[in-house]
Amino acid sequence: MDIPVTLLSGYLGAGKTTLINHVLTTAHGVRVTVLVNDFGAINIDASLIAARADETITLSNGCVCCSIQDDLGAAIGEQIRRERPPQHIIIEASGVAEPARILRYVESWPGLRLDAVVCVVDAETIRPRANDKFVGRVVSRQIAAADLLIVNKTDLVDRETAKDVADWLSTLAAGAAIVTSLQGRVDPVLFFGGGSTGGAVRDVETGDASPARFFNVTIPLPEPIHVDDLARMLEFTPQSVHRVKGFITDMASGQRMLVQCVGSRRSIEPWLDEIVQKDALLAIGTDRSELLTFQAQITTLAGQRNTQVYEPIGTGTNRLARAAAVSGDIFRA
Amino acid sequence: VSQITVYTAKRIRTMNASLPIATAVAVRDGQIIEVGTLETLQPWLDAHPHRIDQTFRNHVLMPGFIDPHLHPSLAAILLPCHFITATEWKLPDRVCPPVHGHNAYIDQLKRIEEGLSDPSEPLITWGYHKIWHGSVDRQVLNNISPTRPMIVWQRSFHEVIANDAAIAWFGADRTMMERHHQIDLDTGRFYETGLAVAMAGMRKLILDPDRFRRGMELTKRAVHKGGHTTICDMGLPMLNLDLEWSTLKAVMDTDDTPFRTQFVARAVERGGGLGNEAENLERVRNMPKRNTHRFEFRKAVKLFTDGGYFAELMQVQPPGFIDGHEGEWLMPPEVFEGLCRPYWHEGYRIHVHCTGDLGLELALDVLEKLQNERPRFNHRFTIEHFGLSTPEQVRRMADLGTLASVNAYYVYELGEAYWKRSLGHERASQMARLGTLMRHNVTTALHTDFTMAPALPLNSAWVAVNRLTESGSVMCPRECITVEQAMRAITIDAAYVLGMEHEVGSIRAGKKADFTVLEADPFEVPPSALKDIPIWGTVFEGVPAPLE
Repeated sequence: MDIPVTLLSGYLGAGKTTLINHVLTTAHGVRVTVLVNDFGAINIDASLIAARADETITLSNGCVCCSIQDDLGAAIGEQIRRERPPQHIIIEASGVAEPARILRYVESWPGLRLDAVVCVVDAETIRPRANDKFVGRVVSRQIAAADLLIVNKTDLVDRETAKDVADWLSTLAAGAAIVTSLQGRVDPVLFFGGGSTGGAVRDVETGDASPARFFNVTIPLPEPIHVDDLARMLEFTPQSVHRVKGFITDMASGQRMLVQCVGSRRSIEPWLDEIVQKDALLAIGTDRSELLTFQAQITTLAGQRNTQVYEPIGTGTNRLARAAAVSGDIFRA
Repeated sequence: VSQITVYTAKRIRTMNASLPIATAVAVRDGQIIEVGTLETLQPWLDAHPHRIDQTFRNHVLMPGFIDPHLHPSLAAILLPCHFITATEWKLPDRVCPPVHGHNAYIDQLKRIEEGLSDPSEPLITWGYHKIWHGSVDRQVLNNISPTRPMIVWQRSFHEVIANDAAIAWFGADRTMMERHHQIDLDTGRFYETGLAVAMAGMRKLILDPDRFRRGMELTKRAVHKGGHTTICDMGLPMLNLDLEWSTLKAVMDTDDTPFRTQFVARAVERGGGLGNEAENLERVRNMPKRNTHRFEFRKAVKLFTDGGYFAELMQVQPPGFIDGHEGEWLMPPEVFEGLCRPYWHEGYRIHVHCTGDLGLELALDVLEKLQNERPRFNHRFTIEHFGLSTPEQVRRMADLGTLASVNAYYVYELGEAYWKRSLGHERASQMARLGTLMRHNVTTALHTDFTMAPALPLNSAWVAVNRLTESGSVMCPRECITVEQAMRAITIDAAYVLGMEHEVGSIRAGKKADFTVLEADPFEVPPSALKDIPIWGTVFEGVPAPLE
């Protein structure tokens, strides 16, 4: 099975390394390998380190941090060939990397599957940075390529500025999910999808410093579902729902499918490997009521024999407004 | 004290404006005692034992040529490969004529293959380019040899084409290669991210210590063949400091080596990201401990702004590239600035690789900031390569006291391609803006960045004077320089860029007795014939070293 890859971009000082430190050391039950550019900056509590070699740190939780050393291809190849390959790979792009160039590795390398492009931005400096004569263009492209934007260091700006930044980002990265963070402490479920069970909306542990409060909900789908219907519904996922992940069974073909959504990146693909989990989707978001509505809508799809027409849920977000403008017919039908 | 040797010559071009032409030079213990005529040398000759050597009575002596920026390690990897190139390469063990057209390319490859005695020896050829050589694929290579690993390495290193035997020889997992989107096993092409798979397979051959050493021997001969007596390895290490240093020592730090090498350490080692700042500073500071008579580190350091010029990854100011693609920064601007700062404050000479005009802009902005923090005179901050620039930037370079070390060969090999496909005529024709540098009195050296260009200073001078492309177009006559300026750029001004102008670069009393011995006078042949002047050999620290 292909290993999901998160491409982590963002300019120098945005907080990528802090985020990586956080993801590596938070217990989340996923064996993740992080390929980093600057090994020297990784600073992990010694008590969590199981082994340390020249270019690799192995943590006691099974995670690995590895230096790219100018050769991303070699670093990727080494991970794929490991006896126990990672369950998820995060590639840290250098601060001035063209995201498209790194994406080519992920998209062309057998055994990898792009999960999401995550871009970390510094709330205080991102706007001047995007106009900088040297790096403005590459910074803007990093934002535009993102599925998930993490606005970091929001404690350094006032609320209004933070909101302005988020609005401005949403114009550059159409459809991207945008979350805020103080010190890179973004919940790992945003990266890996998490693994909770049951249908209740639960608080996700985000730590004291996070201004964004996450909720997740598991939507059991005991009956098959029309893939086309689901795909159309996912087009109009509210912006506050940042990630949807899980397995379904297609009504028409009986095929089991893997569903993955991060921001505007959506994929529903046949799943040929063995699956132990029951059919269910996990959704993670910041608005409890929109999450509940989303849950209700998905649930109504299950077991429906005929193709459905939907009202979009959630209102007032830029993304919805734009989507509505583009495909208004679906709404009126 | 040893005996004085007096070399007489048809003419000596001293490159010292006070005494530009002479006919005799007295040398003792590797040092020039006096240059002039046999008559003017008389007081020395009356006072000390001497002999007159007339070996060069029909030759022209110049100061020993200097290449202030080349890469012996890169050359040591490439020279053991078989060259089939669109432009001529004169190498120490062979001359590779320009090969144009698909059939000519295949014929040449067949000849090389038939010439190899060991049927299992992998054949790597370098220099292929689709524009000149048409389409070459796995089947074409299989037809030449189905059993020998045959590998075609593209001119700018970005693609490899392999036959079946080579694909098997790479040793990579077949299923993985089949599924890889940038490996096409049908055509045998490994490109972009797929290239890493081929390179991993080739590494066992190209970095084999014996082969690397053989390549370094060829590099040594290539340097001599160009008429050099001083070179600078601009950026050590290239790949692996231990392998490179031990090989360099074994091959080029020997009594029979007719040239000296200055090394400039990279501020950041390749690989391992930016690394630890304090460790990097210590590494660079400690390099001079390795110095010997021929090998020398000085207070100099190499840094980078933007990507490669041959790879079209230079950072270009608006309006950018015709196809809209983007160049590359080799490090974030703040990191570049942060790396420059300690060296600036400690009085280092800073050499910055800049290929595009936006990369140049960054180097100049940082230099201006550092000048405001701590003004320095005679700092010799040098722009290396100098692919694209604007006239206003050159003026600013002059104001800031910047030097230039220029790869003029860009004009010859890339001028027309970049005019038609990449940048348009105006900007492409003005690449390597040498005339403007001269008009602003910016001290300028010519370099080859060998193997980016052949290690032939007279060839670089020829490009700078004529600005001809490979197909014969003239690129911006207003940026041509004079023969005098070009000859300075491979002698005294190149010495200045390396901080060695008081030791080498011209022929005058007190300097090292380094000469390049030519069969004709560069100032008298037609400028179009500069590159064709035969070289007899060199004199290094007083000792003649004829070419093989």
